[in-house]
Amino acid sequence: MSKTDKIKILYLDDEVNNLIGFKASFRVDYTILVANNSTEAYQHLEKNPDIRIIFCDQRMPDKTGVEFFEEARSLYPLPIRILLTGYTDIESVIDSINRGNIFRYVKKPWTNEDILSCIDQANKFYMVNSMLSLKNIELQKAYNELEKFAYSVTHDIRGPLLSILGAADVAQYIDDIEEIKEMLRLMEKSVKKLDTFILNIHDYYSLKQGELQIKEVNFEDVVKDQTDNYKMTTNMKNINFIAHVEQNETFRTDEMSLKIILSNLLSNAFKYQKKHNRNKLVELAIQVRRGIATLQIKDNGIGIQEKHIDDIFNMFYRATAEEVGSGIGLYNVKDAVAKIGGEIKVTSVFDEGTTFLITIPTK
Amino acid sequence: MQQKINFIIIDDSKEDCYLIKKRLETLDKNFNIKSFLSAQEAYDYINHTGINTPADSRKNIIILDIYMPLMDGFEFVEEFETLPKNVQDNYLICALTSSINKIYIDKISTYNSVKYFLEKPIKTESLLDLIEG
Repeated sequence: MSKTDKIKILYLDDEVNNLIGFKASFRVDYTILVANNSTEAYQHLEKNPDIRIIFCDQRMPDKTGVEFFEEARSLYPLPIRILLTGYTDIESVIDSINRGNIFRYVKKPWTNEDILSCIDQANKFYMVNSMLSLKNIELQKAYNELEKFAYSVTHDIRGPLLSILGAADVAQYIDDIEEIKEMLRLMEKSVKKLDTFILNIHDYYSLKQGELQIKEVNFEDVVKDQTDNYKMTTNMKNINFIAHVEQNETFRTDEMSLKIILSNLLSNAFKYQKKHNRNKLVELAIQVRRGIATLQIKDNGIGIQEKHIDDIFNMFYRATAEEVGSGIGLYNVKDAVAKIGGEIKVTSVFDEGTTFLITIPTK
Repeated sequence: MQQKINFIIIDDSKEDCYLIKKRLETLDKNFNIKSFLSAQEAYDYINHTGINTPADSRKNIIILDIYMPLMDGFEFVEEFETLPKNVQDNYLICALTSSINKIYIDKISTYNSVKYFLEKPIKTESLLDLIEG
């Protein structure tokens, strides 16, 4: 165990000899902080939020150990509190234990074995507690996502369905065949929107639950796949798409995550273009050097306003009402980047364009 | 003979804007219909032109989607209610909802300026109620 991994223990006692003895006995295995009075003890607690266990003597001149713990509990709830006391104070000790202010008490004079077993139990209790609060945070996060999910389902699934229903209904009032065709096109668009949403949700769950499948990746092939996928889009929207790959070494990662990253960022780059720009440009540059792959996706599209840039990776967040989007794409990208141990950065100038920079280490 | 009415449609879905417009046109070709994909742009438009609209000339109806990115229906109504009283009086807000969740309908109905509700998909009868009401 390195020094920083040692369990940190605070011992508060008015008798200096006890402090010295305690420290001498346990300093090898634990980091021991000692305090001669409650003021000193609070200073330690303030400076060391990682103190796990507090030992405190019951009989002290300024206040009793029970009083100190009652106070300390509300200010520093995390450390496990253990009282050192003789039999004579047993009434107040029992009361204090019952009120939850003390985890254990150790009889004076204590033996090393008493203290060691107490530390062991207290540490286990501390670990379980902190694990629990960590799990609680995770659970809260999952719950928040679920709530947003339920809200968006009504909008993103029911929305297009209602458009289809509406279009079918309006078509009944129309005689002109061209206008009816227009309604059919509208229905087709809504169906595609729905399908995209479902595919995004599929990505979301594959990322959350899927195992990584690490294998060698040839970026030339990956880029070729993407280029083929978007050929229609780039031709139709008249976008100049330039891809450049530089890879002279083997690179290993999870290909599905990589594809989710590239396809979402590229489709965004193609989608959020300025309609009347004559020189629509999307550039993809990939470079593999010394085990690090650097991916840059750059467009000269509508850009992202500065006030929205910190939120774009949030679930269901949309920074523009232009074009159709579900607000899941970039969330999935961030998830995928994290899953393969990479980092993502974005720079954008509103009305000028956006650049995403991703670095991924080989596995 | 129908009364002349200006409609302002605010919905982030281009398809839905088009649909509402089409449906209104099946009722009366002479409606003046303006569509906005962003609530902010609609607000700016109303803020700039609202004061100049003579109160008695035409009825102005805003059909407002609730769930939209950036400025949503709730935020739009809040901004709208800060406009001068004589501008607000020129408009009638009708909240448009696809939500099955009653909470959002209840919430939007707490605003004074929201007088009507339409549920997607819009029915011709409910549009007629809105126009004649």
